[in-house]
Amino acid sequence: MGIDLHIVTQQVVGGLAVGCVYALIALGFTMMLRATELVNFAQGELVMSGAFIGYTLLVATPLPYLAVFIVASILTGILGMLVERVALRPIRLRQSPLLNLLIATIGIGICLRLVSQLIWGAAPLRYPVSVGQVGHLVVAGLPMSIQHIWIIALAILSMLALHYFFERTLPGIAWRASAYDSYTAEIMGVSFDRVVTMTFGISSMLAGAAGVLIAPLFFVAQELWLQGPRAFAGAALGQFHILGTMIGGPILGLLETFAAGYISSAYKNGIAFGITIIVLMLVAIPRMPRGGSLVFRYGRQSIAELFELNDRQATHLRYGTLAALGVVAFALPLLLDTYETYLVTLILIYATGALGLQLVIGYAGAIIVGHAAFLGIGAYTSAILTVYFGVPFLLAIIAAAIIAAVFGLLFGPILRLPTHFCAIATLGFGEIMHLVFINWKKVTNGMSGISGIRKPSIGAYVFEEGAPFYFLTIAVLVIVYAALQRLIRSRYGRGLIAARENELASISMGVNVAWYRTLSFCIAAGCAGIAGSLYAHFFSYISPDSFTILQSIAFLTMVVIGGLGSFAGAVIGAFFVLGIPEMLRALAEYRILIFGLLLITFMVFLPGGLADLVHRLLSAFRRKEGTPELSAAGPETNEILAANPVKDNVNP
Amino acid sequence: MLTLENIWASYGPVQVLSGVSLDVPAGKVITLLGGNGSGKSTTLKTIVGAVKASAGSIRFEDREICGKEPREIIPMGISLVPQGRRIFAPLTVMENLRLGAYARRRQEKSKDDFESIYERFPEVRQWLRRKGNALSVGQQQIVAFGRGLISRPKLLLLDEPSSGLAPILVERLGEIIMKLKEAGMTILLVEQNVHLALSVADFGYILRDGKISMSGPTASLVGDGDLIRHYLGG
Repeated sequence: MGIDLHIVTQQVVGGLAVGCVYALIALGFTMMLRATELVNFAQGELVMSGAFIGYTLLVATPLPYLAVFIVASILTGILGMLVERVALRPIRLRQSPLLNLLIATIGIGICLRLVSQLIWGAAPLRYPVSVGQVGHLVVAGLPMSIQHIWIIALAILSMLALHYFFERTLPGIAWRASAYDSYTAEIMGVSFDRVVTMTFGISSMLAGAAGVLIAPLFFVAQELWLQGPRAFAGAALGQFHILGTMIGGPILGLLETFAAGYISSAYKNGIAFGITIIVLMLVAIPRMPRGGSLVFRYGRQSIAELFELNDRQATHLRYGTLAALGVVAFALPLLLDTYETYLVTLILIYATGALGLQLVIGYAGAIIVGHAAFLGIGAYTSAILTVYFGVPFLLAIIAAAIIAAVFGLLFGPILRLPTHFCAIATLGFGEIMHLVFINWKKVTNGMSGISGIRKPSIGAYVFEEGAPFYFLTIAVLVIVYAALQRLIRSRYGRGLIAARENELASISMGVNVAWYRTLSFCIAAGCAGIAGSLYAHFFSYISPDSFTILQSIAFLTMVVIGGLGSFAGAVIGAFFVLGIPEMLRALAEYRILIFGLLLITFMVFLPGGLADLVHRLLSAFRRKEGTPELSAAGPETNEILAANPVKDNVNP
Repeated sequence: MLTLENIWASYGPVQVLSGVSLDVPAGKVITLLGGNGSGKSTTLKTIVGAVKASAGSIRFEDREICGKEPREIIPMGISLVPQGRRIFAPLTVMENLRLGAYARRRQEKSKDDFESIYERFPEVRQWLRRKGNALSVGQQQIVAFGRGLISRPKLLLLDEPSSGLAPILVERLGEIIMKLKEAGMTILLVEQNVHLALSVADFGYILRDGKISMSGPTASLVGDGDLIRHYLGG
């Protein structure tokens, strides 16, 4: 079989065109990582914004294509700087952990998507193509799409401009100096704050340029944002060096095109994520363990400590709270109508999954953006077993937990990556699993999904919709909650927390950190598997659309808004994340926008989540009673403070 | 020229400076001595604004600079040569030097500035295109001084320039500081190398646990050797 040179040429040129656009987007990631160690999860939304801005300029103004390209890039750059100044700088100046910045960029992404939907609508728009960009150019007898050549030329010009900026101009040199050693640059007069703003400006400009370039190849729609995370593979291939990324992008484009053409087009969208995971696992695992807390430092005093209760009082308080919660749990189905019971049950199912995620984020200190994949694995396992093989529910839910946990175990080594890389790698894992759900038709039935999943039953008893299912869910949640709570107080749990607080020290104490983290991922996956099984039986129908990145992000926000390192927080977080949009139902799309804004607001004003809010209120109440306030920074800091009281009045 | 009055500073809950006062008159070399963790480097960082003082006053040429940002303070004519030299490794020597003049880039052509550096350190000319990580420690030392001096500062802050240097390079360092002193430069030298510090400085302060525990003309401090050793924890 001969290879058709015409087709190969078109594939190469097409792959290069897309790859050059990837390079522009990936350069934004690389710059951000170099200067701030942050992975900007809103980079894809900035690409989308650039595409929309370019669309309006092309349609509504007489500007020629080249001018539109430049103006749209600049406008997107300004948008990026605004976002940094308004939303991210306040978080950074509070010395909040990187996780909070990451969540805030997710919130920004949600807002940008919604704003664009309000302005341009949700229906995909066809990009106007300028005259002179259609047709083919024949070089040496081989046809090349003129549009692709335009894209390649403009992308290369943009990269040359960027290279000139870094190598020849003083601000560019200052940027490189600051990225290498921000303290020394600062004492040369290079303000780190300005470098960060500049980084956002330039990487957003690149994203905007990429948006204008790539939009004609697709329709312009909110879905364009996924180009961001995909392009990250280009940065990973380039080893997060500026020049490397400029080469890594085109390589990614070519790999995608050829893999789609010769291996499998169904998994085309997963190739970039596969590359990201493989490259990160090969190069980004730190060789040296780090001393010091990796993620955050919100040690909370328990309520018993706060109020200085003795053991008996603490026990009373515990049983009192449990009894009160029990009464509420039993009374709820009587108080709520059918829809509300349905909603609360759904929230409790998600909360079960969020509990597992709390273990891996709040206690193991990793960031996971692919948790919905495990929900899906559990759901499919349970659905297939009960529907096709007639396995009883009780066995199916256990199988769901085990299969999901096995997947967690297999992908556990991802947790050895530094936090932000872990986030993007697990995001990739989630996307790949989503593609598997869609394309492994023999097992998952593809997009049509699996229907006719019966309500769970134990023996002859069937948990019908409404109160019975609600009680089943509550029972499962309580079991998972108690098991995790017990786990975290065990030798394993203490080791996990120690590893989060100081990896280096824990390793020296003999804690097998890598294995402990893998195990936490495995347990988290198991919890999600259980939740997934309930989910399948709750809806009686599942399809790949129930297990996308949007659900993964919902899980992540539940844990973060609820409060890291608090299982109760994860449950409260689930009620908040799923309940607030319900309460705002009247606001239609705006509720998602409000949700995004809330996410950012939380990261700015309440980085410790709702659990922290409760704690702060209680502390404030306690202080009124006359106990001197110690810092909210946690017990460790409090000890230091107690040993070195800060002088209020330093002047004699 | 520079006066610190009752400066307090902390890293989070850890108090580092507890009321530091010192005075650096124009044209003099003043040294600040102290053991590890006594707050020497923090004092310098507080002067340039990289660490914010929680209380106290810092006056430079009769202007209050306490609370200002480094990008406002550096152009006034203060230069800090950081501990460990901290040359930007991926940047060329030329680029390192340009950054030294970054703060005053709008004020005048820097061509003369470069000439003045070549005059003082002729060997720099040969390294201009070399990357920072291709320099020996001795060469880094020269480039760090060049980077600190290219902005023609009125006050030069040196943060433990002798750390990590072989004895022969410490000798060279002493010569460089003496030449700068002869040229009329005002210097605040933070050191652990007591011998070097006392041989070049006019006046010395000894810092212990974030407080000035002793001060005097270097001649008197030299005679007080035992006391110094005691305060430095030796």
